[in-house]
Amino acid sequence: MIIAYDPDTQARRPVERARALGVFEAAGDRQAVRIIRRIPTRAGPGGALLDEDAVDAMLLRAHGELQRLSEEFQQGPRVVSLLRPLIDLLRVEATGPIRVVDVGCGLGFIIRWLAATQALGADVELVGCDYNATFVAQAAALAEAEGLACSFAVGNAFTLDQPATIFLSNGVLHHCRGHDLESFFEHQHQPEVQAFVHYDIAPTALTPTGAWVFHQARMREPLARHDGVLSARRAHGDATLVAAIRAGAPAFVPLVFDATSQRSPWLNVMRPVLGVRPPLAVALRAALGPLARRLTEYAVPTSAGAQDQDPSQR
Amino acid sequence: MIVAVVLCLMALCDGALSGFRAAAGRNALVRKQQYYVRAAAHGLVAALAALAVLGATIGLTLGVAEDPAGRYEGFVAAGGRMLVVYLPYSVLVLGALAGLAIPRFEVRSVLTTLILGPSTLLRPLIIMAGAVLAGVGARDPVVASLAWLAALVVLAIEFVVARRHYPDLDLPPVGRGTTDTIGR
Repeated sequence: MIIAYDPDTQARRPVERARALGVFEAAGDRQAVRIIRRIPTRAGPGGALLDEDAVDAMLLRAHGELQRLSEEFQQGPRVVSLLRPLIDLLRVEATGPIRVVDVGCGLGFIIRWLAATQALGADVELVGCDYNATFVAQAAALAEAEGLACSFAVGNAFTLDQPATIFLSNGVLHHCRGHDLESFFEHQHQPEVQAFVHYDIAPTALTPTGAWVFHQARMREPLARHDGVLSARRAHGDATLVAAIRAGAPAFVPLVFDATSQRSPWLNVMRPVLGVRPPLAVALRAALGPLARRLTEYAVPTSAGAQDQDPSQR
Repeated sequence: MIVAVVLCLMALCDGALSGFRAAAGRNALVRKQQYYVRAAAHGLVAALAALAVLGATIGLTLGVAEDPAGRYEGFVAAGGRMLVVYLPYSVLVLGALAGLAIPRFEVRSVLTTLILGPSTLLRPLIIMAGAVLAGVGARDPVVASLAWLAALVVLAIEFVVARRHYPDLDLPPVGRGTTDTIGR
């Protein structure tokens, strides 16, 4: 609500302060209203506009604090625990480079962490994408400062010139709802894509309380504190995500690692959903070893299992 | 004397951790062990300064007391009551921090979820609870006041270190690195 992009060009669009306030006032979200009222404005043709630089500075602070949470919750090793076996399988038959693309990478922490640790191997190309040019510029500068072999791009991760082998995201899914969620998976239904791994907040009974505790304890930026708790409330259940994968990317076998019903809420913080090409599903289970028992597989619908074409042609 | 030494060690430890917390989330690099070591040192120095001021204040109140020995006993008893609250909390937190050395990311994550996150949120309440208990049992109002003052000073360390050394996210200058605007 405080940042907007043109859906066609992905160009940044100005946000009217009154409009943003109206949305949250209508929702009765007084905390969000207070946060927006504190954002500096500039004059626009139809009234005051939220100052983009101030919004970006606030979002950067929030993402810096989010990175801290990712570090604390060991998000890098979590991602590696699933991506490494997957990439080992793909490497056997790979004819070109294996490219991992982080969708909505923000400051690119996970991509930079993977580059810093080389946990996936030096041959894996690591790319972070985000609509926000400020985030991408900072992510690239941070990577450069540490001499990391990864790259970042402004724009739509699903329309890269160099296609992804694996799409990855962290904390993005809860931003998509209804048709947008299906569309998110539909965009990954590309011939070159072999798998996707999307981590998001696990919606357990303890999630809202846990999110509040951690955002109060760990964050100072009011936006980060408030949005983190809202995000936890918006987290999707396993069934919603599996249904969206089935609808959007039916050629992929939907898998849930640490399905919400099978895991203690104390242990579940970020829960990944995966989609893999059918031949990979069995092999992945073997490659995961003991971790495989935490993988819940959902059958590919028979009507869609043989399809492997661009969803726009279905 | 043991009570005073234990409380001082706790305050120094808490100061170092306050420095860490003040710096956390303010540096987006991946490799930042040195950054955190410096942050802990900032907290430690702030805690040392706070202890020096509190020690001098306690010394001053002992110097002007009509019954210095009685007041000293009062301080020791108040410190003992503080430890009743602070020791279990410290053991829990330090135990969890020691557990972070276990090279399994899921263990580390669980320690964070169950102990380190909630204990950070409870820390101000724990510190004030110790001061309340120390003050309630003290007959000497000077002892009670200093117990409260000590608690407030300890609570202020993270705030002061954050304001002085880590007021905003520290980012490298932009315009470097590999970026592109993409589309096909």
